[in-house]
Order: sequence, then C-alpha cells, then structure tokens
Amino acid sequence: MKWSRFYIIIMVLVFAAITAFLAFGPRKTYSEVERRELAVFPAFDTDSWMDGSYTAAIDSWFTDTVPFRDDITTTALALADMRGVRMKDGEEEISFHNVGTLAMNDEETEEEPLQQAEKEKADKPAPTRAPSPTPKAPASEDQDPEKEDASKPSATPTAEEKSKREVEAAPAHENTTISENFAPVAEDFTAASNGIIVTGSGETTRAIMLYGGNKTVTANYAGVANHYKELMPELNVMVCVIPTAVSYYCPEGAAAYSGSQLVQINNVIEHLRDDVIGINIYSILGEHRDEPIYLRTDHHWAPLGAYYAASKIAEAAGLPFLDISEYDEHVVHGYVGSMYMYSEDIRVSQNPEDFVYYTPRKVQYKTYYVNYILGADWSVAGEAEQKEGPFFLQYPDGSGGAYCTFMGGDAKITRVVTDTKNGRKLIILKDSFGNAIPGYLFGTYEEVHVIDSRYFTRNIQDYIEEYGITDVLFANNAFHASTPATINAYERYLTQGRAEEEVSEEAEAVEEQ
Amino acid sequence: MVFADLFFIYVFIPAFAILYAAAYLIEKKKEKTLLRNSVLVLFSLIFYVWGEPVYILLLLLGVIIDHICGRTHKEIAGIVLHLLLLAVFKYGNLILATVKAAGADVPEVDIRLPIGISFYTFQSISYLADVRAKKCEPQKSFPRLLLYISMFPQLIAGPIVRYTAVASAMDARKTTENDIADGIRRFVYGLGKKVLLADQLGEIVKQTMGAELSSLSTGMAWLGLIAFSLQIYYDFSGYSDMAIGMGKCMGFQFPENFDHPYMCASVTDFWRRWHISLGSFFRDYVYIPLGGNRCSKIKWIRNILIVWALTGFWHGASWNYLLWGLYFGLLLLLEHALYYRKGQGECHGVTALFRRITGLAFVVLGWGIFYFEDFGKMRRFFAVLFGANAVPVSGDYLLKSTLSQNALLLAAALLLCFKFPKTDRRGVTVLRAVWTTAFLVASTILLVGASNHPFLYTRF
Repeated sequence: MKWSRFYIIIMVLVFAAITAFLAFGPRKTYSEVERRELAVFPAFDTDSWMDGSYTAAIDSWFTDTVPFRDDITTTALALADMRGVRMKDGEEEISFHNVGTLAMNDEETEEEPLQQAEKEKADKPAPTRAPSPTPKAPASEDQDPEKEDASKPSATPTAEEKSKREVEAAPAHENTTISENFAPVAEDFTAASNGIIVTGSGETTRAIMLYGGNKTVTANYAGVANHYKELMPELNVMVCVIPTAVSYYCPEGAAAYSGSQLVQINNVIEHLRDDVIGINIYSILGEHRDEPIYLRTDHHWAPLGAYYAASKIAEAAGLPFLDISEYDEHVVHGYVGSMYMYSEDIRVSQNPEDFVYYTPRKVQYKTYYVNYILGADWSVAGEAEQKEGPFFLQYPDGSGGAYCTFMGGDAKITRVVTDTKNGRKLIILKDSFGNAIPGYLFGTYEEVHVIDSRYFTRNIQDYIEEYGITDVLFANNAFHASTPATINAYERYLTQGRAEEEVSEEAEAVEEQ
Repeated sequence: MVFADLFFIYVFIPAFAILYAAAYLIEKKKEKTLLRNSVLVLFSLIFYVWGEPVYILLLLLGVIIDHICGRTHKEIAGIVLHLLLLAVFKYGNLILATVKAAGADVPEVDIRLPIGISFYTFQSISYLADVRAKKCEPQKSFPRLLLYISMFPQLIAGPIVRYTAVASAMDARKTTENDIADGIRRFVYGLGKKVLLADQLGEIVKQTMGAELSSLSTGMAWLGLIAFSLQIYYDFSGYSDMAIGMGKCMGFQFPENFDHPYMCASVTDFWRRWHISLGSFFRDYVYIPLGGNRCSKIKWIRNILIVWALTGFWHGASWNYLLWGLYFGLLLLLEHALYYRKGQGECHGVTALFRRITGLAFVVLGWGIFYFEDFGKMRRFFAVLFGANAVPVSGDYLLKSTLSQNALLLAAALLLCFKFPKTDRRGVTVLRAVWTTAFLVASTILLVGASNHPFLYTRF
C-alpha cells in the first residue's frame, strides 16, 4: 500500500468518525457546566434568512449542542490551560484571567461580575434563569402554616402603630467609617477590566473577581438611600455594602490590579444622612475570614458569611438575632460555582467545595413568591400570580446551581411571614448576594420582603405602605453598589407604577419641606 | 460560513466531499470535469449564500460583468465597474463620513461590507487585465467563469488566484493520492494554526491592545503587539493553508501566500513573503503599468507610494490602513536608499543581523498602526509602548503572570515562524497521521469550547 493512501484512509476515517459523532450523538438542551439553556434550532422566516441570522443560528445550534458538550468544554479548558506554566508568588499560585491593565485612578465604573461575563458571552444563546436539575424542598421546610391568612398583606398600620415603630426603628447609631483593612489593596484604585485571578492550589484554590469602584457612583448609592429616607422619614433605612472575596483573599502580587472595596464602602458611609444607618459588615467578615465565609469557586459569598453580616444587621436594627446553633446545617457536596466558566480555569473545576447552608430550626414561617416572567433579553415581560413555596431549595450534590438554594433565584418578589411578633417588617433591596441574608432574619422580623435591584416593576412607596414596612435594607455587593444601573433602578422604584399626578404632588410636597 | 466552524468542517465538507468524490469516480475515465465543476460551483454558491444571502447577487453581477466585458473586449470598462462596486460597497461608508465631516449634507446610509468582496473583485480585475494583455483567452463558458470567481476555498479570504493559474485545471485536472494526502494535511495544519495558535494568541491581544490603554503597562503593550503580530500571521496563513489544502484535494494548485515572513532579512523581504498573492497583484497590475522602476526617480517614488497606499487601503475602509500602507512604502524607499542601491543587497554578518532585527521591529510596529482604526487610541498605544504609563510599585506582575501563563503558546508560535527542512521518509507518514489527527481533534474540541472567532482577513 502506498503511504499516501494509508494516510488518506486514516484521515478519512478520523473525519468520518467525528462527523458521525456530531451527526448522530445525543444533543443536549442544557449545559450543567455553563448553567444555561443551549441554542435551539431556529425557526425559519424570510427576514432572518435575508439578514443571515437564520443560517448563523444554525451554525450556533450545531456548535452549541454538540454531544457531550460539557465534557468537551471541560477538555477544551484543560487544553487551553496547557498554554503556559504556573507562576508562583511565594507559596501561592496566581493566574490572571482577562486582566489586561494596571490598576489606575478612580475613573471607571464597574459592573457586577455576572453582567461583565454575560457581555463577553453575548454571542452565545441566552442563558437560562433557572438552574437545573429542578431542586426539591427539604422535608424540614414543611413548616406549620401561620394561623392568620398570611398570603395577604396585613392591614395598613395605624398612625399610632407607625409612630411606635418609628421610635423602635431608630436605635442609637452613629455612622463611622471603617479603619481596619484586611487586604493588601492599594487605596482608591480602579482595575480597568473586570478580571479574575485564580489563586492557591488543591483545596485552597480560589477564584477572585478583581474590583474597580468609583467614588461618584458609590456616593450616589448612598444618595439613593438618603432619598428613600427623605421621602419616607418614618422608615428605618439601613445600608449594608457587601464586600466580595477580593477584600480578604487578594494576594499581594495581584493587589495592584484591584481597587479597594473598603475605600468605596467608607465612601458610602460618609455620604449617608445621619438618620440612615450604615452597617459595617466589613470588619466582622474580616475577623472571620479564616472560616469558609466566601465560596472559592463562585463569585458569591458563602451562607456563613451572610450569617455574620445578618448579625450586624439585626444589631443595627436593635432587634434580637438567632445564634447559628439555632439552625440546621445542610451540605451540597462537590459544588463548583460560576467562577469556573467565568475564569475558564480548569483548576476551579478540579477543586470543588462544599456548599453549606443553614435553615432555622424553630422559627415558623411561610414564603410567598410573585415570580417575574422574563423575556429573551432578561427584561420583565410579566408578573405571575402570587404563590406559596419553600424559601430554601435543596440541590443535589455536585449541582452548580446550589447558590440558588435561597428562593431559587432573583427574578421575583419574595415575602416571608414569620411567627416573630414585633411589628417590624423589613424589605431587603439586593442583588444575588442579598439572597443569603433573609434566612437569618426570620427570628428577627415579623416579615421579610426581598426585592431584586433588577426585576421590581411596582412602586416601592406603594409597596411599603401596602405591607406596613418599617425597615428597608440596601444590601448590594460592592460591585453592584458601584454600578449606576443599581442606583437608577432604586430611584426608579420610587416613581414607577404611580399616577403622574400623585408623583408630582409628592414632589411638590418634598420641595415645600 | 467560515472555515474554522464545526458546521463547515463536519457538515459542509463531508457533504461536498461525498458528492465530489462521486462525480470524480464517474468522470475518472472520461477525463472530463463537468460534473466535478458543477458540484464545486453548487457548493461554492451554497457556501456564499450561507453567509451572504443577499450579496450573492453582487457576486453574480461581478461574474456577469467579467463574462460580458471579457468576451466583448471591454476589459477597461469591466475593471472600472468592479472598482466602482468596490468603492460603493467597501468604501461607501468612509466616503460618506468624510464628505459629511467636510460639512456637506449627506444622507445617513450604512452599507454593510459584503464578505470577500476585496478578494473576488481583485480576481475579476486580474482576469480582465490578463485577457486585455492577451495572457489568456476570454472564458466563453459562464459557468466556468463563475467557478473561477466563486470557488469556495479561496472565495472570502484568498489567496488571490490568477485565472491563468487555474484555467487549465478547470478544463482537465488530475488528482493524485499524494495531492489528496498533502491537501488534507495542509487543511488540518491550517485549522490548527487558526484554532490552536491564532485564537489563543487573540486572548492575549484582547487583554492588552483591546484593553483600557490609559492603564496598560509598557511591558504588556509590547507583549500584546508581539502576540498580535503572531496572531494575524497564524490566522491569515492558517486560512490560506486550508484554502490551498482544499484546492489540492480537488486538483487545483493555488499559489502560496506566505513564505515564513518573520524570517525576513528586511522590510522589503518581508513583503516578498507576506500575502504574496496581493503583493504580486499590485506589482503586476499597478506598479509595472505605472512604469515600475524603469522611469525617473521621482516617478518611481510616486509609483511606490501609490502602490503602498493602495495596498494599505485594500485592507480596510479606514485611514489607519492607508497610513499603514504608506508607512511601508516609505520604509521600502528608505531600505532601497540604504541597502539595495548599487548592488548592496547582499550582506552578511552583523550588517545582515542588523537589517533583520530592524526590519522585523518595523514590521511589528506596523501592526500597531494596522490594529487601531481609532487614531486617538493608536497614539495612546504607541505612547505606552515607549514608556508613557509607569509600572506601579508592585512591579509588572501582570506581565510576568501573562508570560508564564502563555509561555508554551508563545514559544510554539515563535518557533513555528522558522522554516524546518521537509522530509518524505516513510516512517514520517505514520507520525504525520498521528499529528494530524491530534491537531484535528484538539482544534475540534477548542472550537466547541470557544465562541466563534472569524478569520481576521475575512473582514477585508
């Protein structure tokens, strides 16, 4: 046999085998690793054909749904990892991902890590909003229902009740900036791109999103909280900016590429009115940083971190707080979070962690959800009927969606009615970091409402009045607190969904004051 | 459709290969090419329609112009029409924006660039010019002319194939087993260059030249520029390899487009090795008709600058490409004055090394002009290259990290710029089969894991 013929036969067989694999292998509709719905075969129409988007969508579908996609993408990351060798900074290995520039001065605005990552994957099909597999409520979640009909808002409080709450809701508090610094981060710097660094090895592997921050934006974040207080003086307004992992685990070698979250948190505190409470959770998290208070493989904090934060929130509100011993511990083993796909660093995947969360043992509560129906561009297309459901969802071991344990995600209004009877009702205005907080406040508040900074379509003043809310907590992570979109949303919540006359009357009244 | 796409490699190519092989078997003894040509034209049109459902009409219009003007010997009119179409569809937006900037009231029109227009227009021009110069007879068959212009391997990113290079093969061609084996290997190596090297290097480029320049360190800027120099080479030469490989499998011998350009002895030598089909096009159809170097010195300088301005502008409808072309025109004039006058072309030792290093440095710096369409960004980038941004106290840790994270990639990319001796020993065939399979599988895996990376040169 001629050698060239031998070569042709081999190569034709290889091509044929891969072609057959791609043509006849099982195509999936969901990626566990990327946690998103995969592309669907496009429906034909003349317009999409003429502008080329129909054929482009077929290409995308073919690539996106290849058989064993998750295994192949994992292998792809392992291959890409072979581009270089690991560099060591003392004992620590650090890899930079998408960090192109040095840290510089306070010029850039920042976006939440997720938003940035989604932008970069914009040419991929729209990701799903719900994790898979569908989680189940744990048996312990079957709480006794409250005796009163909790599915409806309680009666609007009387003036006397309001007055009483106002007094209760104003604990002695003085806003002071934080002096401790738990990370070797240079002051007032901005990383020019939202990069990720991966540090450590084995069980200490940790992916960290570098931070930018902008003092103008964080001052506006304080400003919007002040505005809530100005419009609703009887409300106890609290602000709690949540530091992310970079505040505590950024290695010295990478410090110059990240801005200081502490600087921005202090900037928020400095700009708050005296009667708006700035809550310092930075210090308590720093004191406990040797504990698993942040997830190593996900951009979120761990539920334990939220526990410490919640203790400071209850303290600031002047209310009791349940010790961690009053909770049952649950573990999702083999958890690999979002940072695997954002960093595309195989080490993150190779070193899963335990996702540990806590459910209150004795508190009785019921959870009601109004889910938002989202359009293809993540915009709110509608609102579903209110329905009751579990607050904590149970995910199986190995599930990458375990952070959705709390309420199952963000696109909803959540209302938790507890058996705590003190007349205090809290709204948490938050991003996904805030989801881990409410579970620790069921023994603290009579009601806990959770509203996301991206999905609320009602009027917040009406909502506060309708449910007799006494406390509002702004609980955003440092990235989101540095994002104009968050501030704009909170401002919009004050005016959206109201009759124009009503709004203008109120504006006049405020001006007169 | 682009070559580095799973749908192209594992749906389009197999379907085409099966039908083409069937046509080949039918025609084998008759020594005809009608069936094979028909399959090739059909798939070429599908290939183009897949990405450009509307602009296929523009391509067909171009072939009609070639057919009519070639047969009626109105070649100049045909060339003018092609240049007009190119001016409208490639440079229309730039012309309108420039006129508007000058204060004129022009309508808001956004003309989308038809894929591959620069390449197939130049093929049409070369055909008409060769007919006019009587280097070839006008093609009487419209389908054959359509085949020449639309042949999918070289349709959207070259090489710019002369009609004379494929005319006889369209009528009668033999495909040997050696050709097919070479073609497959070339195709897979080209795919590997694109996916395993160019796209990976692109990640470095994205986080350096594509990042916020006001905070880019000098070290990272240089790393980015070198990475881009390598990326564009492997991207474009990878495409050319795939095109040449597919052509070989069908019995066509497309011209080589690259000859280890970064081994160049000078800037002049670089352009003998880089995008050879474009360089030879401008030499044969612009430079020589203008008088080449057989004229007065002033005219010769004019000819050089015209050719290089056009070469630059061919790459895109943006002024930075013009600047890039003129930059090379001036460098070539300078090199001629310093090196090549009075038979000083040959040199050895330190002088040759100096020419080599400075030539390569100028080529690499030139990619900085090429990359930035925004002149403000270009200025900032060059300022950073020469030390405008101070490195922070902690040192350029990011540069060290990026270098170590990409050390093997950069080493491989640099090493493969060199020319290695070829061997045809039998044992090598087995090794080649293993290597080719590994490249193909690795490229396929990375294509699944990556978002779509279109070839850089398909933009032109």
